[in-house]
Amino acid sequence: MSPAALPRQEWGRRRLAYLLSAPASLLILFIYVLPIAAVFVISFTDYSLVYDGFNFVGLDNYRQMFTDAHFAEALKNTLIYAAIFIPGAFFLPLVLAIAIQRRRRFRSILEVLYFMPVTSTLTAMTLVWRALLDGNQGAINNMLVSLGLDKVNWLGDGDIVLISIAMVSIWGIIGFNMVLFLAGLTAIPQNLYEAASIDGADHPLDRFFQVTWPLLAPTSLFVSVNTLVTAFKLFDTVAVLTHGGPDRASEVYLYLAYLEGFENFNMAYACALSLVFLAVLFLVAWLQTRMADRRRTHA
Amino acid sequence: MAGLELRDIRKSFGNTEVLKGLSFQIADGEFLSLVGESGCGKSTLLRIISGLETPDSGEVLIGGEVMNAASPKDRNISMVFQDYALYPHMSVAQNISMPLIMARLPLHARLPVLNRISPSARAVRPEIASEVEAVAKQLRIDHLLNRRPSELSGGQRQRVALGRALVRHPKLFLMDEPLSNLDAKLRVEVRKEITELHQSTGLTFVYVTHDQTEAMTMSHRVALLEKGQLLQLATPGDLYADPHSVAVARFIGSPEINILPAEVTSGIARLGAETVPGRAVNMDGPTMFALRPEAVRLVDRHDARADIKLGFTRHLTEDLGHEVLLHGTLHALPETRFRMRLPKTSDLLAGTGLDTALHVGFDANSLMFFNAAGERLRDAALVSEAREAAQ
Repeated sequence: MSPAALPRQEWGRRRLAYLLSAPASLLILFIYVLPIAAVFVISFTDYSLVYDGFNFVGLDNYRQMFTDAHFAEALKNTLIYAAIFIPGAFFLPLVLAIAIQRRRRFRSILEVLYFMPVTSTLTAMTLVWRALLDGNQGAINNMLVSLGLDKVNWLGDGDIVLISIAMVSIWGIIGFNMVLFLAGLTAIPQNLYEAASIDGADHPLDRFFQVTWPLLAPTSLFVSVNTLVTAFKLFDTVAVLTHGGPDRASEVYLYLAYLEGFENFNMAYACALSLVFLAVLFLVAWLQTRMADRRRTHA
Repeated sequence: MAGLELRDIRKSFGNTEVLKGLSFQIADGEFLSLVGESGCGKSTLLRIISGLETPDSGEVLIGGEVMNAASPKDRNISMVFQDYALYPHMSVAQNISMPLIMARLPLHARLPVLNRISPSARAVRPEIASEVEAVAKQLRIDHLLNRRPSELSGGQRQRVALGRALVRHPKLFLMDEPLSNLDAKLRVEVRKEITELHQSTGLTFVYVTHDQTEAMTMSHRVALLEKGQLLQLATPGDLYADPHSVAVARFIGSPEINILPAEVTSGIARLGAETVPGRAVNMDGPTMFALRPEAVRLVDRHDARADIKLGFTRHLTEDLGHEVLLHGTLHALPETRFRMRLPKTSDLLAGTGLDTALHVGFDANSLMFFNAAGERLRDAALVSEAREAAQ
């Protein structure tokens, strides 16, 4: 049927549909699509914040990544950080959710307590953490000393700083992931646990591996993808706590992109970094989802 | 030896007393149904037998052993849940093999990763697989072993749940309204299969249902519960013919038994304004006359064969082909619904409208008598003058 043949009423309804979806579509267009397109274009130029005009330089910016020692360093730091952060941010909330779920009393209080960091401003909280983690006057070190232990240079030691940042980030995400896991646990029918205990699966490990873990799979997938993306998006904690220091030991991917763009004014290179970042995240999340899908259909 | 014995089982949830001291025995190999309205405590009782719930007081004995402290897996029981409770992430074969895996493999061989390298798992698994297959064959689901529960019909899921319960050869087979999620036709079919299963396995079955037809058709004996108390435990035939109380009489039988409020004074019984012929023996004051709808027939006004004849107004006729149900009221008791069940349509109905006055007749000895509290009056009787004269 040609469009002209559509009845007037149908046209009216279509126009209404477009009108209603327009605000959201426009917002997505201006906030996500156009900036990404701009970043894409700029990444092939030598555009910088301080000079007018630019030239197209082809793939130069992308080529630069392979020779840039800072880039390699930032990539390594990000991976180390992710290796500490992701397991902690996944398993701690899982264990907490299982422990809290069985409690009748205090459950809601515990939920609120663990969720509080999520509702507070991360930058402000990070300032508090900076004070707590301070090498000389920090409360944590004072506590260690009063226990007869040595002080730890939480933010000043290149070998420790990524662990410290990961701890702060885990603290910030525990509540969020825990609430997700709690929702997933609540959705598991109680009678499956009853069937399991009749079948003899009443050992806590059996209950977990035969019922909880497999039925929690969709939640786990969501939490793991989300946590992974969060790990690579690390920026503000570094910006507030260490500025990438000491000696670039905590310079992670996004912080490098920020430095290149707004400190070194290499906006085009920063754009290329961001695009690669986006592509890598997309790829990893896609692979993870596909793997989970396959497990669901073939196991 | 009793397959199952319950001694004064009590259970409360908060302030609500759900079970008020239940005691009975089930013989080894018996099929017993627990029947009652929802909320009567039958499911709670089953959960107590299974060990999913602990009684506040009382003892559960399975095969002569007190099992109060035993966990469900140590009671040697199986349970089929109302909504089957199949593991959705496992295949049919995995679902059925679950009890065997739990019983025969050590913990480390049941955990992920470790189970692949465990030598004991390698030895036991083929054995389990062949037992699962045998059970699946018995239930005619062996072609579905690799499917997931979500890919099965309700009836097939039901069979998988039965298979998972059967595979471990339990002492006691518990079923919690297993047919309630099936459509009417399938229900009749599976009902028959469960009865056959019971016959072929010889296991002790405890079957919870709110459906009297299921209970009556499948069981050796039926335990009728009301508000946490045992009303009567008897064979289906006895429950029908010899109810201890008005509640039992009402619950068993379809259409429901007629309960006629009567007033007895010095041997004369009255239904409303009408005097019932015959001498009322061993009853006095307000009394309930209970009369099965199938004990009533339509009679001619002058028919002398019925002991008692009463005027009847028909409100509704249900012709089921093999029988006819009439709903209406007796002239004597215009407030009380009266039902009757005729084997076939009667000549007396021919040409009559809903307003035509009819007469129903029945024998005095088909009446059952209950006092105002609903207890059966066993010695009570209506003695007809004609019979008295003949004796």
